[in-house]
Amino acid sequence: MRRFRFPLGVSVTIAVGLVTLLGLTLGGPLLGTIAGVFINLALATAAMAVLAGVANLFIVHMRRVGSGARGWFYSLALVISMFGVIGARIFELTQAGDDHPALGSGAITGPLFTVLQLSIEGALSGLMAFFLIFAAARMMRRRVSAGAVLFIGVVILVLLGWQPLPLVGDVFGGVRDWIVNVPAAGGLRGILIGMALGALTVGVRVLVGRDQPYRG
Amino acid sequence: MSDNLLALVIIIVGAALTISGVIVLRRWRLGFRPLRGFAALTTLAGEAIESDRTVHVALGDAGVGRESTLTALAGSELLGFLAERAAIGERSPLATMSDPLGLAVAQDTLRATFARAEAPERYDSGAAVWVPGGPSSLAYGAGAANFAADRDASANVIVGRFGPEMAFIAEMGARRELVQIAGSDLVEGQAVAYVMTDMPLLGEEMFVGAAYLEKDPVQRGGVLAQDVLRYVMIALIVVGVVIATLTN
Repeated sequence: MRRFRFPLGVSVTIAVGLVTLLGLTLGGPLLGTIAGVFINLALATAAMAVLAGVANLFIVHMRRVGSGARGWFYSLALVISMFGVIGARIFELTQAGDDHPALGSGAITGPLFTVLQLSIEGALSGLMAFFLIFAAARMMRRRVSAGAVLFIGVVILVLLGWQPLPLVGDVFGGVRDWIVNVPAAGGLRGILIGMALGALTVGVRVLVGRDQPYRG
Repeated sequence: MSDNLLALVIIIVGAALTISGVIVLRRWRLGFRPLRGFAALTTLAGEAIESDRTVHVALGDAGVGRESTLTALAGSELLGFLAERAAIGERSPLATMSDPLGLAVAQDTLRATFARAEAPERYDSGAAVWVPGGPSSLAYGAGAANFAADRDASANVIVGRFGPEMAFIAEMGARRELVQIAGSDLVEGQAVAYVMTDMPLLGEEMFVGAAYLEKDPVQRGGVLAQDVLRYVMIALIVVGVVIATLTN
């Protein structure tokens, strides 16, 4: 039986991939409908996967708590918070009656999101600026190459261009605009085209059955 | 020609060029430019086994069923490669991701790899950890860095969909002096990878891992096709610029 499982999986994947591709590109009533069904199946699977994710989160963190691993207290706090939010959401929905507020906009989960999650993410964003500045300094210590020097030089010029000071901002503002609109935009498009080609070849490999992430 | 039809034509041309690339590579020996990130993967997998530590593979927000599907597959290829080597040691690679379908892909990759290595009992579902990302994925970055630090990872392989949150994982790696390989399909993530890691994978480099690591003819043919298409694109852009300049 195992001998036949492998080609069957490959055949199904190739067939579904080709039909979806043709349905999305050529359209038509039949192919378009079938492609839509496959895409909806993928969306339904994605929704179910969140439940698997929650189960994984619970198991992994409870293991950490159980084994007393480093940081177990944070895992315990996470599990308690998770059940707290789930409970709050259920309570919120029972209180709302026929009106179903979206998660994060209800009477209880709304303040939780705005007060806790947004402020924490804001704090993390603030930290990131320091990480990147230290990283740039570390990079110059680690490898002083022409590319690294150019990178740091451009970063300094662009940062100077953002300054609200009258003279500095005026002088470097134009340089900043030119860097952002000409070389950076051109390079960005080049990178995006390159990535699209990379993704295309991976897609072709999956469609011809050479990449088999689904094989068991 | 509509955009959809053009996309289909490009895919067909890509497939034809991949097949042509396989034929060309069978006849002639063509070398690819070295990529330090992929060259280092085998070494860091070996070092992790010797030091009885794990390798952290961060897949970010890449998941199947969305536009990041192929990025998720590229990341799972590297995870599979590392798991294959880790199968002879004691510790499975640690995979973290913020997309729930990415969790399914990572768990299945690990399970299948250990099964092929005839060590299915070594598969640990807890080696793939879902860290919900939130609106900006910053929580994922902080959580994944924390997991990697707690499990004493010896290296960070950060390949998937990342924005600025990659900085949290890379910063943890830099503080612990870990070997770090990083690539993202978002340009913000690539910028962070360039600044914060020794071996960044820029642009399409993230998608060619299988060709460099497995030396499979179809994978290598795909890389050749990719290069040919790139030169065709460059030629088209240059011709377009010349025509636009002359007509204006």
